[in-house]
Amino acid sequence: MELVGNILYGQSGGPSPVINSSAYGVIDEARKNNKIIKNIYCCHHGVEGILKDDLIDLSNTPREQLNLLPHTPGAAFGSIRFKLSKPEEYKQILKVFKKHNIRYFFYNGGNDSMDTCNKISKFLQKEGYDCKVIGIPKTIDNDLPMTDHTPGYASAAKFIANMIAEAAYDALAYKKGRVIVFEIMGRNAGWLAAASKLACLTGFGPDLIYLPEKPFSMDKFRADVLKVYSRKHKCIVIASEGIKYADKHYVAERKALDSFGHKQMGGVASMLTENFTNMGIDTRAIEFSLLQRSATHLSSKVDVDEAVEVGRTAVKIALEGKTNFMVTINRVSTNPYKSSFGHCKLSEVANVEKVVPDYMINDEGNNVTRAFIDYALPLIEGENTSIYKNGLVQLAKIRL
Amino acid sequence: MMKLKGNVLYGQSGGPTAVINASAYGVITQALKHEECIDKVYCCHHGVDGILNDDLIDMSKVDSKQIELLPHTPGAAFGSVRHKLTDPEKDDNQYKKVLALFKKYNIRYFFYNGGNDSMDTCNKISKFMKVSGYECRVIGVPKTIDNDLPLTDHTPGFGSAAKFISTAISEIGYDATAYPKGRVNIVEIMGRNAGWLAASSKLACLSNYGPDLIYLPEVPFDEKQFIKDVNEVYKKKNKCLVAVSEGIRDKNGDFIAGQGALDAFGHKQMGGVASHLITLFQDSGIKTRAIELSLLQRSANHLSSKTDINEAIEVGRRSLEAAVNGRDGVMIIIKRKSNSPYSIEFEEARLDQVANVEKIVPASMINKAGNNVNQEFINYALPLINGENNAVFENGIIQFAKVK
Repeated sequence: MELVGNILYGQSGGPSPVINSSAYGVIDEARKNNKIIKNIYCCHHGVEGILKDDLIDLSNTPREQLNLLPHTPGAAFGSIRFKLSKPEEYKQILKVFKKHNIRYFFYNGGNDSMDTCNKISKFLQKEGYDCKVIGIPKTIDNDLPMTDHTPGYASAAKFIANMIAEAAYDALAYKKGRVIVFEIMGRNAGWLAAASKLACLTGFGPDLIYLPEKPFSMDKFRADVLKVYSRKHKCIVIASEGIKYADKHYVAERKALDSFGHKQMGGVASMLTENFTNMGIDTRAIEFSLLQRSATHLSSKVDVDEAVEVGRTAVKIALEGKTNFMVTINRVSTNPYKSSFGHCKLSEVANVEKVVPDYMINDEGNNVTRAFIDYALPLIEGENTSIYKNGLVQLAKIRL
Repeated sequence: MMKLKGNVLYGQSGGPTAVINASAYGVITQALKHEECIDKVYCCHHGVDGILNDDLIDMSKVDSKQIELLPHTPGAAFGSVRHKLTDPEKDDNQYKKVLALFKKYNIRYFFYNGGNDSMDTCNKISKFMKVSGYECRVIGVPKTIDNDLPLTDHTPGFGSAAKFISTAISEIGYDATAYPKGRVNIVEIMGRNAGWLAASSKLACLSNYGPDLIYLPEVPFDEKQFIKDVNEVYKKKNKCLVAVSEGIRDKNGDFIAGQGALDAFGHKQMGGVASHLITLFQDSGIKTRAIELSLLQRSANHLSSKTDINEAIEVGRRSLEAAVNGRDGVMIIIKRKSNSPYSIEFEEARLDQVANVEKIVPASMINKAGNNVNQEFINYALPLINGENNAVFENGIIQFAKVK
């Protein structure tokens, strides 16, 4: 028996350059199945939109706006960082689902969001409300288990690698020596900082890369930099915002916690450059900040295509009657690069973090290896060129 | 007119731009079309330093594929320098060295690609050659992301930096709508004395996700008024996106931030304005974020404006043509004929009219409250970011010219 009803799609956690591509995949696939799926709703700001019964009905959204989704950064429907904690919240969700006859629910996010998704799924099952719940992976951090990589990672990696190549080329303009430290997002997993390595393939990349996976020593760092500097008169350093000392304390620790209890990061680069200011070495600290997750204009075509397909796959498996799964990407081969789409149980994903494995990090703990390049390079292939009008980038207007 | 026979020397100076190498491309490829008077093309390795150190790059030894990549290459492919030559009336030793090198390599055409300070250098070299009776055509090729050169409608490099800034701010502005939680984002943009680059963030408003407030060095900055401005926007929208020039200063002319070292020209090094401004909201309970676009503004060649690149190439070509036609001591300038459709012409200005003069954003482009720019600015800047000069990618990785 086919489960006829409406679908609800929600975005959660930090934006990524391709979360809206997955939204596009879900919406487009759902529209193809309009005998089973009647209405398409999107949560306004994820689970908060459900709790407030604040849903966006997509029936009136013009096609041209939907077509812009794969070129739009941020979270077109609004995202949220919200951890469900009270029994009333689940009851409220059920009430809203019943009211709108939601029979297919797709939640697009990272670790924490998969946990939320898992809990909602279990609750609905317990209450005997038939609703297929599928998690759609998304995070620039690439730290989800069970999937070869996460949609969003490759585009952020592409932006980071190419911006660092450009900045490294720029650094050669002057004879004057300089140490440049780039701070890259990544609290516990160093995948994004590692991606800077791909810039080396242009001939203009980082000399040193520090990841949260290896204990950081300020003395060793200083020695590493001076060694490179004495040889090249320049040194380009990449540091994950989440690098930690051997005692597990973050190098740049700040007091505030986010709503999941994670420590807020930031400021590593300027902290690291302070090592050299007294030595009379010219330094510059650069934070890519929000651009890492919002620079859709430099997103990877492989990533965008996969993100769309992950969204489609979520709808397909839900229509097959599957529930409580997350869609995964499996690597079939690296050269030529080929991937396929599978799924795993939400409970296997929720709150598990995948870090950069040892064999991708060099023995000294200050760079990544060929194995990492082989892993990451195919993911940044192709350009998903933005749509410009009069030189201005065009972004989907869903909520205006 | 007898054609002056000899070699070409081209040099890059000052801060890199997304399109300085496009002008290099224009000069070099145009020179190759004048076999009747130009034998060889040399480039200075690190501008005037390369001349003083007899460190030149012989372009006949550079692969043509690398030359073709120049319009897609950031930085300064031949190396730049910030080096102020001495006043020749006090000490002409450096100029004698320049003359000796010009003679050694039979340099009869010299092109110096830079901003205000570089045009000053160029002007001094031109004058010294004349006084010394050495025939050499000296042409300044304008370049600066800062857009602060006088006489020219705009400078090559500005359009591309403006395009990167407006696109990045659109993307940041869109990203900021992701969460319902309120936040004030302050984006710090380059520009010491002229606010052209910060002003260009305004173009993001045409995508609907632009800055609410824009502060330029042209308007004295008042912290109390700033806090009031931000709070007013924040109360209405629960968000506020601010673009601020690194060079904003108070009514006494003191910089708001960056009281650091001086550069070789005696200018104060800037930076850190955004981080300073967010501290003003520390006790308000409002979440803030300071973002510096930093080097990306001048190095993001992958997002350069096609209009800018084409003009930069053309400015290079015209410089070469002017020299071959006997011009000396001039800089090519861009004159705007019309805004819509956008059309320009190339003319010349004397180097001494350009050197050390800064063009700032006129009051007519700034709103009355001094916290935004107006439609007149948009009309001026919008045509300059038109078109995309797509980068050359191989396996997802950008390709640059390797000429050094």
